Amino acid sequence: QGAGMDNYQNNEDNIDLLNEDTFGAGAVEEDWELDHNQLVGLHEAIPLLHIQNLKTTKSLHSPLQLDDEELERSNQQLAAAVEELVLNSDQDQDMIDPAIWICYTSIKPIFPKMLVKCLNSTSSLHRGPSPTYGISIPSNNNHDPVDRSLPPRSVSPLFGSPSPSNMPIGTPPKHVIMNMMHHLEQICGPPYHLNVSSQNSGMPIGVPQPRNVVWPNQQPMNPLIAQDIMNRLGMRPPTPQPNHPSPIGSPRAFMVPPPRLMSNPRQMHLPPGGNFESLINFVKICTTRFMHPMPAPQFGPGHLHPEHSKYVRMRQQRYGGHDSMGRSRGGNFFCLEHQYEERIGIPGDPYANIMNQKEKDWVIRIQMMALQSDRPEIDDYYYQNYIERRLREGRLNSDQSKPARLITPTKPNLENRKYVPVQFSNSLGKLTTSSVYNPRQIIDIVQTANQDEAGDAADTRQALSKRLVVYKTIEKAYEIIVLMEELQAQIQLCPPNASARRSLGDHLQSKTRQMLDVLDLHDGMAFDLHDDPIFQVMKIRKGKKLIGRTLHFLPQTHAVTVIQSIFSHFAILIKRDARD
Amino acid sequence: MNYMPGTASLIEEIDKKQLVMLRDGRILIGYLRSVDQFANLVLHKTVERVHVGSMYGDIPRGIFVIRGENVVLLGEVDIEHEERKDLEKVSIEKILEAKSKLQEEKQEKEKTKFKAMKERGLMPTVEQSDDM
Repeated sequence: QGAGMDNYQNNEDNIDLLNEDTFGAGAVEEDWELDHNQLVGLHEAIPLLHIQNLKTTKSLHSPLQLDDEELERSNQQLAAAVEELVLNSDQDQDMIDPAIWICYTSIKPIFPKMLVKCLNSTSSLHRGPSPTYGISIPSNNNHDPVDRSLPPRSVSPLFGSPSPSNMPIGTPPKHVIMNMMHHLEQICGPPYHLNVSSQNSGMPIGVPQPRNVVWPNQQPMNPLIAQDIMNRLGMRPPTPQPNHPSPIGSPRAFMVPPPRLMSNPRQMHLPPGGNFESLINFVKICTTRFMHPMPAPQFGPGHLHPEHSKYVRMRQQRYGGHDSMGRSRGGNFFCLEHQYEERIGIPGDPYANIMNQKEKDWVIRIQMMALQSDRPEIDDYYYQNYIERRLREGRLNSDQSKPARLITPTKPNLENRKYVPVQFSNSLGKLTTSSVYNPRQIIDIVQTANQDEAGDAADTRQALSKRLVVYKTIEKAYEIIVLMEELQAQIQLCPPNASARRSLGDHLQSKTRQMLDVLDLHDGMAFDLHDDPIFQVMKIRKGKKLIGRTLHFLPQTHAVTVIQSIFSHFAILIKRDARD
Repeated sequence: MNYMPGTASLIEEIDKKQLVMLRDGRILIGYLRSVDQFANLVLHKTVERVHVGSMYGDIPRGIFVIRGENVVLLGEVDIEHEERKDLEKVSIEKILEAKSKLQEEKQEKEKTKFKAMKERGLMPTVEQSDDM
């Protein structure tokens, strides 16, 4: 019995701990009943707003100077504003994770009550419960009322998703804040750009970080309320700044990318917060404006070359409507002609469309972002080379009138020939056929010239070790040549940007020097017919190819040496080539 | 592939009957209802199909949420051609019986193999692979 009671006690303790985690310090340490009563009796008492970051706004009046009416009005304004912000976001709803919309709608009725707090005028060091949207915040034991900043959250946020740091790469930033800014913009003036890097201010998941946007001083609203909103949204308070146009305007307004983004044609930056219409426009702009100066625009994986996508669309129109299963292509992302209602269940399948279009688009968006890459020639090697080759050949299969015919080697049809027994002129009767007991030579075995390579048993060991040395040289040189070619490619692709080119060029130089060492080519070395390392390398098939590739990179003098060696041993090399 | 031409996505497989093979060798057949960026799957009206020889049995499982990393492959089931004349469908009890018999036989074989190896002085290693 005692043990049972102990367990019960222990469980109680555990529950209490969990309580703190779940409901926050407010449930355990603070007297929530008192808080609740205070909130309930608020219409009688003077409502005083919770002051945060007082020292940053020196122009603030103390709360006691605000009169009731003004505060009531401002409270209502605040309620309306925040309600509008979070709940009625009908713009860019596709950027919000659809899974958390339900949470938004469920918060709605509670809002007005949560917005009003009171600050005990006796400053009993009691921090009233703030509207935390259901998130608990550990109590701030900072007794100074001036320094009341929103403490960092220590408990799991409302929406139950992992913290931002645990989000996988490729999760798009949530642009709910865009909507909030929209509405806030309607209330106050437009925001201006602020080059501030702020850390994660502990916001709930689903609310992205508005790093660079700052609101001008709000006149129509109470500065305290503005503070409140801003602190909740994690923005810095207004500081005197020159008026820059904010690059984070409406995502829909993003049609022309800023010049900065276009400077590096290799990289395809997704427009921040843009939807796919703007992405397509972006792609079009890229291709139309910048296709000419560059040899071939590098599109990342996930984006088709514009010619290719034209072809795909043409093909779709021809065969579209029904896929291989006979089902008509449903209302997918760009299929504008079929605007299906988002309803769960279709005739035939009452469980269809549980995943609505927005959710699908969200997943696709994540997948597309994961496809972005800085080096499409490596990550998307096959497609890029395919398109390059097609472009070179001048055709992208845009016309299907004459599909390419596959020419297969044809063998003469021997089956239908009339059988004619083998006959020789001037011979009598049948010819002898070969059999096991009378074998005839069917296969001609020819002795190829292998004599020049083999030595006698005595120096095979030496020859072998020499050959091994050459093999090693070749392998080392291969490593270097691969690197050099990659560097070369990068230099060519990179814009005539001095620093990048220079660094790459230096790298190339060092690699060239390495190569020379490996191939045993030293400055001022005279060509020696009998002790020619180049010839040794050339004797081997792989080495020949290596020399061919290296020649492009060698400086003049050494290239000459290599050529000299080739010409001196021309005869032997030709013979070997013929054999290969 | 209207939106991402040149790529493959599970979005198109939604609401279609899929056959999913898991890393532990299980085969699940169900209607794919939802996916996410990790290829976690939500299968509806799932049935676990157990094959033994030319017999198979379907164990109804309801709704499955499968973690993407455990999926080996999945493919759409053609409902018109779903029936197989070469396979015989049996009841759940029968197939499970057959399966356990098969497992026993395998274990017996393994045991004798191990014994033989040990006799010859070799140390047998247990296979730790992911598929059965």
